[in-house]
Amino acid sequence: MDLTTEAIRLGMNMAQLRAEVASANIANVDVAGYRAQRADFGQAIGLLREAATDPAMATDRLMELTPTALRDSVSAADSSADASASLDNQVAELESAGVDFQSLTTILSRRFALMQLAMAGRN
Amino acid sequence: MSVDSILAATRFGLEYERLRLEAASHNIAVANTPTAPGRPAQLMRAVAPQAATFDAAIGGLERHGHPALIATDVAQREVHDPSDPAADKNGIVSYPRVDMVTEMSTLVEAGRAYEANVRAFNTLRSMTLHSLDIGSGS
Amino acid sequence: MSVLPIEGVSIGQLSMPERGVGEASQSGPSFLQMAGAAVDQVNGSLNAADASARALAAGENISVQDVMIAMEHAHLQLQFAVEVRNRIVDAYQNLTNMQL
Repeated sequence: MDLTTEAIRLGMNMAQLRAEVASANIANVDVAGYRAQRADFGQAIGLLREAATDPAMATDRLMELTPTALRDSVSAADSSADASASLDNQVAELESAGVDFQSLTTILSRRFALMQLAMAGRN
Repeated sequence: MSVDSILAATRFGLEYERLRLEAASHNIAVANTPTAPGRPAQLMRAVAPQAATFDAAIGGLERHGHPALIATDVAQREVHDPSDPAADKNGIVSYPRVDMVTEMSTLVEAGRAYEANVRAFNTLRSMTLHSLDIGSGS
Repeated sequence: MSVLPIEGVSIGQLSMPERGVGEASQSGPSFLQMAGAAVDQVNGSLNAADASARALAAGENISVQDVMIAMEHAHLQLQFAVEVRNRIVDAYQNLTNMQL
C-alpha cells in the first residue's frame, strides 16, 4: 500500500506494543525482582520521521518493520529507571498508547473513505 | 507521538507529587527512630529539575528530567536517656528533627495535587478523543 | 439559367470573425484552465492531509485536531470536485440524449 498507509500502520503497531508492555508491567507490579520492560523505538521513529519529510520514500523500508521485528525493541529496563516503572506511570503510558491507537485508527479509516470517494465518484 | 507530549507534563506532575507523598510518609515514619551516634540525621525530600522554558516544561519526562528522592542532612533533637541502647557515650539519644505540621500538610497537599493531575490527564485524554469527531458529521 | 459547378469548401475558408475571437480571449481563463486549477487544488489538499497524517505518526509537533481538520478539508474539496464532475456528466448526457 502507499507510504502514508504504511506509516500509519507502523504507528499503530508501535502503539499496540507500548500498550502490551505497559500491561505486562502493571500485571507484574507486585512481583519481587521483576524488571520492568520498556520499548525503544529509535529505528522505527527514525523511519517515520523520514517518511514525514520525504513523500517519495520507498515503502518497503517501512514494511520491513513487521510486528515480529518490532518486538525486538522491547527489553528489560535497567534498575536505575525504577521511578518511571511505577504503577501510575505505567497506567498513564497505557492510556496514552490507547489514545494514539484510536487517533491513528480514525485517521486511517477517514483516508480509506476519501480513497473510496475518489474511486466511486459518488458517496 | 504528539499526543504523548500533551500528556507528558501531567505525567511529570503525577510522579513528582507521588514522590512528595513518599518523602512525607517516610519522614513521619522515622520521626521517632534514633540516629546512630556520630552520624547525621537524614530525611527524604523530593526534588524536581527546574524547567527553563515552557517548551521544556511540557516536553515531559525526557526533556524536563525525572524528579527524584534525595536524602538531606537535617538538624537533630536530643533527648537525655542513658538507659536507651541507642544512647551515645553522654547518654544522649538523637532523633531527626521532623516538623510534623509541615509533613502532615504535605501529605494532604500532595494528595490533592495528585488528584488534580489525574483529573488533568483524563481531561486532556477526552479532549483528544473528541477531536477525532471532527468531520464525522457527513 | 446556368448551373455553376459545385466547389468544395475548404477548412481554410472558414474562419471565426476576428472580433469574436478577441472577445472570447478577454472574458477570462478557459474552462479547461479552471478545471485544471481545481484538480491541482484538490490534489494539493489531499497531499497536505497525507503529510500531516505521516507527521502525526512520526511524533512530530502536530496535533490531532490539525490532522483531522486537514483531512476534512481534503474531503470537502474532493466532494465538491466530484459533484461538479457529476453535474457536468449529467449535463453532457442530457445534451447527447436530445432528439434533433
